[in-house]
Amino acid sequence: MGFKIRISGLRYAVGGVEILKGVSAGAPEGKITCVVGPSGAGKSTLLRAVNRLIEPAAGEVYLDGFPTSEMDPLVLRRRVGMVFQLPALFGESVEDAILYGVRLAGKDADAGRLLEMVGLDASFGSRDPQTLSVGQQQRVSIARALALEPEVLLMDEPTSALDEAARRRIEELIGELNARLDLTIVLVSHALDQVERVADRVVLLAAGRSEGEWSKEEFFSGEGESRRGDSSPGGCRWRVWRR
Amino acid sequence: MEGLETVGSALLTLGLVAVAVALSLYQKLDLEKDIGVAVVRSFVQLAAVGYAINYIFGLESLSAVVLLLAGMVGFAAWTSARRARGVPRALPVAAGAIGVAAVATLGVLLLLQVVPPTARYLIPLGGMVIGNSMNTASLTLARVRDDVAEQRLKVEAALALGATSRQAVSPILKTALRSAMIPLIDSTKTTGIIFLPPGRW
Repeated sequence: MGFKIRISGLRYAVGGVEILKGVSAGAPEGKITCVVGPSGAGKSTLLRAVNRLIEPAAGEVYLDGFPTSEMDPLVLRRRVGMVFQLPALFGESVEDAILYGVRLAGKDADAGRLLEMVGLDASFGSRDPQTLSVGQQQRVSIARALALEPEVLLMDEPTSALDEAARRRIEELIGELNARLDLTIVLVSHALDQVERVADRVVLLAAGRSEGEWSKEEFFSGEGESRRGDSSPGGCRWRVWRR
Repeated sequence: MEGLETVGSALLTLGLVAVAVALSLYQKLDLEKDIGVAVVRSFVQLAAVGYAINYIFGLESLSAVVLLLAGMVGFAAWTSARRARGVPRALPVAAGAIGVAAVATLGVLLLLQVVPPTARYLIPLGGMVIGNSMNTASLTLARVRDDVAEQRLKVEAALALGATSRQAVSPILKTALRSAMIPLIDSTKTTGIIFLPPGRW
């Protein structure tokens, strides 16, 4: 299996508290990898370490086999886009919001086409981002990340602030983008039903440690759990979380 | 009699401070300790600086004036940096900003021969420039720190879109600078109407 992103022994601490305690995992090219685990497992921190919004104390992240610590963070972040839990749009219009990153890179993009790509009408471009619903804002934030034509899209619980209908629409969009653009997607989620709907592969984190990685089918059939063995500490945590 | 009048004035002033402390307690502003420390410090500092300035006036040495002004810049920077706890490298940033403001302003005044290069002019003038710069630096640093914390999501989103740190905080910095400059601009605007320069009237 060709990994677009490979994480090896990642450690990160803040204020004397170790958040990541040696995480190793991989995201295959062109697939949707879901990072799951209970609250405080370090899922969002892991995602931030991948595009160097935070610098790990130890370990390495590889993009196409190349260590990201040796890359210019600005170049890395243009290749590895990110969508956050809340949209945080800026600019006076939706078009400004979408083109923020490309303009910084000295390029241009078709905001109308990007809006259509995320299921919004091109006429949204002239609207004030703050007048949109949170679901629409999240679509705009996905369009904003796509404007840079990233090879990987990191998504940190992008549906957690949305209602059920908006959540389903974003899930469909994630599937479409992956299929249409052959985009490698790493999605952090705490909702197992969502993981079951969108994932190709599942990485489980618990208390800052990687507990394993499986195909979606293995993960939900329980093969992953039995493979680790019931007596392992990870196995215990997984059962507690799954309840 | 004159000594008694001075003590009376000091007590009256402390009475006003007590009113401020009472208001802080009533409004639960948690400023009582700050006010108390500020009052004690101002008494001690004024007495100490009075002796120092008297000594320097007597020396008539420009290098002693420069040394005193440098000390004032250092103290102002330390005060600003304390106000901006949590801001990385706040002390050198504040020292740089206040130092540049002092050197530029006094330098221009000296070059244009607006003031003579003597302690009697440079120390009070330098004090005013350094004091104003310190206030602006404190307000700017504290505002930047608070706004970055409040708008962390926007800053992170900008960074994730390939913005440099400077570009990501640029809107916050602009707002902070604008706010911090308001008191200075307003006092300049109202000079001659509200703010009257000290002198013989």
